[in-house]
Amino acid sequence: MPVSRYDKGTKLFNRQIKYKFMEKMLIPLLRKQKVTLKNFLIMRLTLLLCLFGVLGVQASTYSQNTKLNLNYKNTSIKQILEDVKNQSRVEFFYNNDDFDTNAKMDISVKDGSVEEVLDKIILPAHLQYRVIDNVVIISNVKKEAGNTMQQQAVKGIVTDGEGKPLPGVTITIIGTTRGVITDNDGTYTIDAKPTDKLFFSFIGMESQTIEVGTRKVVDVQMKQQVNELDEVSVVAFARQKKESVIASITTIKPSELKVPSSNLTTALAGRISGLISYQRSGEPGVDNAQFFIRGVTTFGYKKDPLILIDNNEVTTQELSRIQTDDIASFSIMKDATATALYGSRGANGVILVTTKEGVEGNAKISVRYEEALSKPTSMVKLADPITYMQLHNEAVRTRDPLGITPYSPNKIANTINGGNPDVYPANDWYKILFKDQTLNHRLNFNVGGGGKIARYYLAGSVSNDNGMLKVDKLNNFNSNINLKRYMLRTNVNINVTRTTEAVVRLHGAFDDYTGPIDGGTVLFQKVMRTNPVLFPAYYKPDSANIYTQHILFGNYDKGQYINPYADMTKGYKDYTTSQMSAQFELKQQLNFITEGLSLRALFNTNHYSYFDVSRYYNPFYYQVSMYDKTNNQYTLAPINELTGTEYLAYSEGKKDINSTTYFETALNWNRTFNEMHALSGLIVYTLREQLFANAGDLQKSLPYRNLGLAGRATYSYGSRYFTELNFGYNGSERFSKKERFGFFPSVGMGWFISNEAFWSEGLKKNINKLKLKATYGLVGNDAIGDANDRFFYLSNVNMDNSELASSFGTYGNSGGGRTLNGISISRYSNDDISWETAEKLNIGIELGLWNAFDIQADVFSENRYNILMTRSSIPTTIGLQSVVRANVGKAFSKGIDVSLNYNHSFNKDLWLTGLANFTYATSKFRVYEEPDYSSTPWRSHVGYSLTQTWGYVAERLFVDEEEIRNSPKQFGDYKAGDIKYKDINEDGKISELDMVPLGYPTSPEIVYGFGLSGGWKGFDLSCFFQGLGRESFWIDTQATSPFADYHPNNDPDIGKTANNALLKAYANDHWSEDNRNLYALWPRLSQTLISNNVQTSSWFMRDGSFIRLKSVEFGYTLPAKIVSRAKMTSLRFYLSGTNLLTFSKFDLWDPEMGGNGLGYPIQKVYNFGLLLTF
Amino acid sequence: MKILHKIKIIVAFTILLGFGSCNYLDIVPDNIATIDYAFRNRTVAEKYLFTCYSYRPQVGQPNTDPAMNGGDETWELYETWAPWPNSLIGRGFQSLTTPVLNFWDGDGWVKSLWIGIRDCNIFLENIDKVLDLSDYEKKRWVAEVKFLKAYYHYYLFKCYGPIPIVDVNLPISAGVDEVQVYREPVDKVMKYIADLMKEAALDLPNSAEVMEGTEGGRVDKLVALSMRAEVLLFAASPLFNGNTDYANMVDSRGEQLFPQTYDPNKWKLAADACKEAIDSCHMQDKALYDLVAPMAATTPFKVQTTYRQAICDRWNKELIWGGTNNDCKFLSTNAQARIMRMTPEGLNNATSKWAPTLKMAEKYYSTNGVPIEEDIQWQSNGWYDNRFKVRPEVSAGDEKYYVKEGEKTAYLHYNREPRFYASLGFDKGIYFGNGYYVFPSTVKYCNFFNKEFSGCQFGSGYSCTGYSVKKMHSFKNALDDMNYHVEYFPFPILRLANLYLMYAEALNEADGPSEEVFTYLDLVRARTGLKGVKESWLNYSNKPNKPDTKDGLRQIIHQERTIELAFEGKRFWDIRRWKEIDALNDQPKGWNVVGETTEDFYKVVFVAQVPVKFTVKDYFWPIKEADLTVNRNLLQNYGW
Repeated sequence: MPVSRYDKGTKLFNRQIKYKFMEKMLIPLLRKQKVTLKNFLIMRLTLLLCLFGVLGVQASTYSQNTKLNLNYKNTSIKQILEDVKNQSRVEFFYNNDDFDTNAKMDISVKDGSVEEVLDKIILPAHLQYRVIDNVVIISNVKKEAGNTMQQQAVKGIVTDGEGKPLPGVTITIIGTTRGVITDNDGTYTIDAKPTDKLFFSFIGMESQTIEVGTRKVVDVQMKQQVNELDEVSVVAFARQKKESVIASITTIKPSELKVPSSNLTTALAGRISGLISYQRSGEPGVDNAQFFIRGVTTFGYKKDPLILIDNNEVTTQELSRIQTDDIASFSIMKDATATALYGSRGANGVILVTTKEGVEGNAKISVRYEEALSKPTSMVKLADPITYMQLHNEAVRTRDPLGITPYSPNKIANTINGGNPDVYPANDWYKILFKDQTLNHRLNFNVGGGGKIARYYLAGSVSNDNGMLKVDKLNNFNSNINLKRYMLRTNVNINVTRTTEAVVRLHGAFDDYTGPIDGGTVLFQKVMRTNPVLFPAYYKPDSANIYTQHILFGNYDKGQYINPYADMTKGYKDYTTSQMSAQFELKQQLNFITEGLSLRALFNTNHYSYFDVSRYYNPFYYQVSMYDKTNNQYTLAPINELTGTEYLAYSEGKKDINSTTYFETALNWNRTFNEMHALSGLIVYTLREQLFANAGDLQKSLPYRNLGLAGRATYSYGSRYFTELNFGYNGSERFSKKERFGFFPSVGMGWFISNEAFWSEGLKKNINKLKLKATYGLVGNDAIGDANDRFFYLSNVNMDNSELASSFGTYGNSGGGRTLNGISISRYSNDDISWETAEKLNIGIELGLWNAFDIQADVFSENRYNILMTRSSIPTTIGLQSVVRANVGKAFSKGIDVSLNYNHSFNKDLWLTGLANFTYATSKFRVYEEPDYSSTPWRSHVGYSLTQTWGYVAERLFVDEEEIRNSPKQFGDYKAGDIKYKDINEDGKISELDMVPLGYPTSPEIVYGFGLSGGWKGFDLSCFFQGLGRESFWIDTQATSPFADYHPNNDPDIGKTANNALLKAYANDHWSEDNRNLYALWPRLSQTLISNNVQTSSWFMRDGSFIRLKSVEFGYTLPAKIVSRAKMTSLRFYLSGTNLLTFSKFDLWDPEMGGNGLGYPIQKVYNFGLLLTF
Repeated sequence: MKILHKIKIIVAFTILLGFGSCNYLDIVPDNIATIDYAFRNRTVAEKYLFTCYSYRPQVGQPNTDPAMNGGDETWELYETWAPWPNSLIGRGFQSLTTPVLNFWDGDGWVKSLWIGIRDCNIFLENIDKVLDLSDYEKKRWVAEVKFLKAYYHYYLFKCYGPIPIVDVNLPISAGVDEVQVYREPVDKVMKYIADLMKEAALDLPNSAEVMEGTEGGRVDKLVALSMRAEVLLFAASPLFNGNTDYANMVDSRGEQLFPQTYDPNKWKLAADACKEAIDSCHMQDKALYDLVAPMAATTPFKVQTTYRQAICDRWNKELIWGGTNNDCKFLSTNAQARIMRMTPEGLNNATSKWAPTLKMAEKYYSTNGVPIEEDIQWQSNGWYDNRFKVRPEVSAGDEKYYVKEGEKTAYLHYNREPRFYASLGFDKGIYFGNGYYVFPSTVKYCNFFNKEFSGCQFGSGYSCTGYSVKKMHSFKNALDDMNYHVEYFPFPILRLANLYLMYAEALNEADGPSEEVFTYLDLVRARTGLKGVKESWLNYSNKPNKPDTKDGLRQIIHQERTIELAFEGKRFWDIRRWKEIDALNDQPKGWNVVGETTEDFYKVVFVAQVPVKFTVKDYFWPIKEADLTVNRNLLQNYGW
């Protein structure tokens, strides 16, 4: 058999297959019998709409409807077929042995179809043909007939690694040119002899050869090609062969980030080694998790990593909105080599996300729908109203024996006996305001595909998240949180010429929010600050108010108390955000200059806008003025007749608009000499500008700019030895001219031991991969100090400061005098302020064991210096209005991150994967500008973590007044049963000098996660545990101090009177005169904040570590045969849950919320979803 | 050759990339405001002048002037969500780690006076740059700023004792040794302040040159001279003059901060300064306020109102320096007693939260112009012993001008000097003014019983002692159910009566009783119809010879100051400079304001929850502990 012919045939085939992918949408036309015209039109229309007509190019490539005109005399079949091919673009596939292609014939056709022509050419030659899509396979009738004796139809389905049907797989019988291609549903049928061997091939998959044998059904699962030599990995501004990457980069499969939430950041914790992450609130819209790469090593305002989506710098908010289905790759870059090119902005690490692009082939549509039931992981438990009253009375009397108790025995008795609930209210405000659970919905879809000229990826999503708030029937508006998010993304790649590719990426994300005026978290806080027994949420109308048109909200006295229900229902706030980005990228190969050279330029613009508006009425408050107990009738007295309104007022909220422009151009060179020496080089130039519309002052209104030139050179020898040099040369407008540019080089080396010749096959069986790598370098950071300090080299003067105004004249400052504002300085100029620099060292190992385990481990250290700090040696007597800063701070961090992946298929039906991640990062101050603490060394920050807390050491509660008299003086007024602190420096008083570092840092030092997934046939089950450790947090003593009038920062109820609720835990365990427990959870009760007890101390320190069952998912994928009947490729149903179980030493609230436990709780989610592709 | 060409292209490309980078980061326009812009012309320089003034402590503000509510004169109803910071001083909650009313570092309530001093120095350094400023004006402005600089040093001195002197600004880049300044000894600081005030007085305008309409409250010659007299009076007072309590306050240089020997000549210097100031005042037409003609008022009200109007008639001839940086509305709101029933909203408009203690009610003289404990009439009638008891007889006859006719009240409230009735609102006391001027048909009275219009009605906004400060709001104010309409007046930081009493005190301390002393004392007494000191004591006191000795006269002068200047933020400082901090250890008392009946209300109760012991350390604020770690050269005040 002429091998060369066969080879040519295969090549031909492959080309046709690619061709076929492009036109997947058009295939049905070839199968007229299967697809109606209507279907086609709809599909076509959809595509046109989606792709702005880009796909229109495709139409010309289709050929089968083309009318042919042929007129030949005595011409060879070969030549005629060539002409048919040219006219119709049909490819022919045949074996030279089957017939004589040089045989001459006559033919004349006018406006004939391809079939007509073929009938005329091929049938007379005693040949037969089959049309598969636009491939025509010609074979010899006789030969086929002779073989049919032993031949039988073999059927089967080809699936990918995940069990999804794989259309377009080429199946040929080895030794012949006969072949078929799998259908849309992955099925094929081929006639074969038992001795035939079927060859399955597909781009990107490992080819397989299977002997037919006696089987009539041959199902095949194709495996992803895992040859690392060809795998590429995303690195800064480019891609590198994975084997040659020596930087510390963690790449995660996007599917692992899939959680039933519309916030991606909540999925990060424990999934990615090297990332410290935790979530403090569960309120829709503000539930972003915080995350830091390898912990925090700076004291500047920007501690979180640089986030890039398709090379464009974005905020955490934008990252939180991205759909995992749209992510092509998600990487975090940790060491100097990985981040050096980002120079100025890479010191805190980089998160790099690229979105999917279309691949050549038929349109692949995927739709996902999810329905989630969401409820708090745990709610704070409050004492019952009776206990509240009794202990409130106790709180007054225990501090002042003559004090007036707020509740009479009569009120308490009547409440116990269930008197009229409006007169003797006993509210569970949580129940009154909040539902137990809420439903959220999410839908997203994407389409990808394309042809030779253009490829497209289009995605959209809609999600609707609801809050847990109740809605009052009397209102005709809904004040529950309702957050709708829409997202649309299109990525289109166009091959402009053979060597030029243009990419257009358009992306828009939009939020529409309706919710309570104060926001969910504030409502939760309000409940904690409301007295449960003073008044009901609202009164049932008394006889005088039968015709009243408004809700009779309860309040007391002058109406100065918080009625959270009134605040929740009095109105609503709308906000919308829109974020749009448009990106254009041009890639040009410059092989004509030198081989392997290419140029890339990218322009991106990003616009963001936000506004909110509130509409509300002023609630009418009432209180009971008289109660006729015998008839159980009360009379209400209006409290604010004059200021209450029945109509709505509105207020315009804040507006936030900004725009970012980014330009990047890169020259890339890549070449391998003699198969051994691989060289590459890269030079990148970047410009970035950001403008804020509502900046607040002149200096901040000026554009924010960065400029950088960065480069990389790599060399590797024989895929074994790798070296890499990087640099970033960056400029920032924040610094004076002489300090404006910073140079940040890095160097790395790697040794791929398992690629050495001495690594025997036997060794390879056990240790299939072993690679060592080390990197060292510098990275800069210009986001230092305070975001408000734009230009360190300029002073910032307010020439019209009303805080420094003076008034004179007859009427002084009463409004009639002569007033001039003053002049103030908020920053003194300093042109020496410069870049903060991180010196990073990373040593890593990559280990593959038994072809199943993949382990990556890195040990790192970072030395951060030139950290901007406030000079502490300047006393106040010098009279400066603002602090003076200098680049004097130094910090150090170190740690390890390890990831382990396990992957094994026991057989075609049963597979198991596992993963585990562990990150440990600890930091400490090396040089911290602080007063001379030589006499009280425990006060010094040096040697302690950057998020260490200092506080007093609580010994226990005071036994009696005698002990107080004999103990060092503490804070304010305190009694027996209040906290006794340790006098560390033994100077006879408790003061700042007695504060010592307490517990662990407030940001966890350890974050880990591990999980297992397994599948059997169509079923799959996975679970994932996540935890964190070495974290301390403090119970907020002011917010939880029972009965106290507590006002948090930015309190919307300033001027109102709060009565803190009573935690059940405190009610059960506090010091009292009858039960003098010196180690009680809460000290002696008080109705005011006792300054002695609210100091930061070890008394209220708690261990923040926990481990939780972060997610569980159970899925079922319908067999391909069934779904293919419904014209679908795959259909998967799944049930999943998030935060189902938590294990922690702390039980008052969800430990992940830390000290923020009284806010909107973290949610537990039960989710149902389905994923459909066709 | 070809390779060279390729290299050229690459190099050219790279250069192109680098191009434009030079200017890309230069985004700051030229005219960004810097401190130089503050002295470009007269208009902005005037703003800087006002800036220097803006650091004036809020003298007279009931919550942030330590002297208004930090001593034993008044007591605030303690509301936990926003206690007045000065009440924390009064309650002994001054703190080492977070000092209350921290004029040294500045806190949420008060500004750091060091910043004010630095601004004054910046002004003095740069004012010559202003080209369009006339010489006269420049001289005047410079003198004003010099005075302010001295005044800010003085205020810090009153709070902290000896302080560093910042005559010239240190540059920001100054080394650690340079910025870590020392506290200077008392005498040096006092001399510096007094001299600087004297220097300022030379170029300051006369009182008449200060345009009241636009400049009222600006510093003139009289302010500088009078304030200088006060400074020297402080220097001569026992706290600073030979105070051996602070003998151990020696800093690391070996400098003794408090002079250890008493120097009587300091009193002489103070007396001379007072005399100089008084003479200048007289020359510039200052005099005690003596004229008021309220509508249809009878004599007792005329006398009372004259005294009240000495404070509340704005820019009157007795005023030497009026504070224009606080809103007298807040003061009035907390001083005014409600004299008729208001709707709940109206209750907050006049709270009388700033409540005089029972001690102050006792301080005032009897009708005879002598202390009630010395008055022979009070003794013989048993009024003194029964002063806290309710007099069984109802108010009748002429008493109706003071106590509501037909009502009962304590003995304490009868037979008092006019300043008692002019200064205090008390239960059943007649309250002249506030829109009601015709006696007896319209003029109202107070009722401080629980649930009554003047008293506690709900949980907050009432007097915790059963008294209100009638003196510190204008009789022309009016209250309706929505608003409180206030007649503006600048707070009297200095008035002539004070100067007279200062002079009398200094003279007595220097040379003992003399005619000159009695002249100035009697001038003050005479305004409200009291007879001279000698005559009154001789006739009505059981210690008739008291005015004849230096010690006896000292007591009389001290009490006279306490009465005449009550609630004007003077006694707080007087107690300190007299070294009489023990006075603050009498636990404040008041009537039982939760009582709803005569029997219940007229019980004397303690109003403080916590008895605190004020000791020698409490004469001064602590320097914030953190400041001492920053500047090791600073010496902490004694006892902190």
